[in-house]
Amino acid sequence: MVKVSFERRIFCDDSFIEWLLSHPNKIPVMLKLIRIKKVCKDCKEEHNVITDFDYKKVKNLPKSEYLLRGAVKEVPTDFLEEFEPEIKDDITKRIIIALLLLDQEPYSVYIFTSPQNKSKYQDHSLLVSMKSSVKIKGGEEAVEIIEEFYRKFIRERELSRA
Amino acid sequence: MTELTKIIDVDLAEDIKNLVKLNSEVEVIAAVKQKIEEFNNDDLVKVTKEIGSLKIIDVELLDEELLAKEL
Repeated sequence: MVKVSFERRIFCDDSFIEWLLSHPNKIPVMLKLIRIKKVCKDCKEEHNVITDFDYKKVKNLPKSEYLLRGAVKEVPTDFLEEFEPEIKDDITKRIIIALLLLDQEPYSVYIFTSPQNKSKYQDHSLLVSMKSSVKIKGGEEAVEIIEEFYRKFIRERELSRA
Repeated sequence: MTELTKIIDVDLAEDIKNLVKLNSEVEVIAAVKQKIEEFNNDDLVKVTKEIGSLKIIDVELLDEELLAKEL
């Protein structure tokens, strides 16, 4: 089975999942997101992630929760409560988690969010000096990245069969 | 409160094939084993497992048709 290195990890927030589940092409896009999680070479099974607090918010949106679990892995954030109790807003918490994800290959991350929430990340003080390690993609831009990653999988699968 | 007795996961067919082949504690009836063997290695598979054992209860190809019903 071909395993693929993707250029960035995928970190979804609740607004992206909500947006995606109301998208007219949600079925093929979700299937591709699941595929990307399953075939990634780096950080196996943890390539696509979501915070535990966002997971709780959206886990009942699909008819079957296993599909959400298949697409994104829950990452714990309880340590933030313990070590950074003054951080109350979810955007800041997610950005801190995104920065922690940079410790592992491929050392860069996309935050997928809704079109409405994109600016909340882009204008955040923690990301102002971050030129490329963390990129924010809202709505259709995120779908384009999923399509691009999926095409990479298809190319590498074809090469492995040649 | 209903007790949770099974869990559903998404796996690659190749991983399920290897699990069945390499772990002698995995329980799977012949009909399900046959379905597993018929998958292509890179198929995505919905796998229903029994909690508290290594029993694979059922497998289904995870394709757009199944997703349309369950998403």
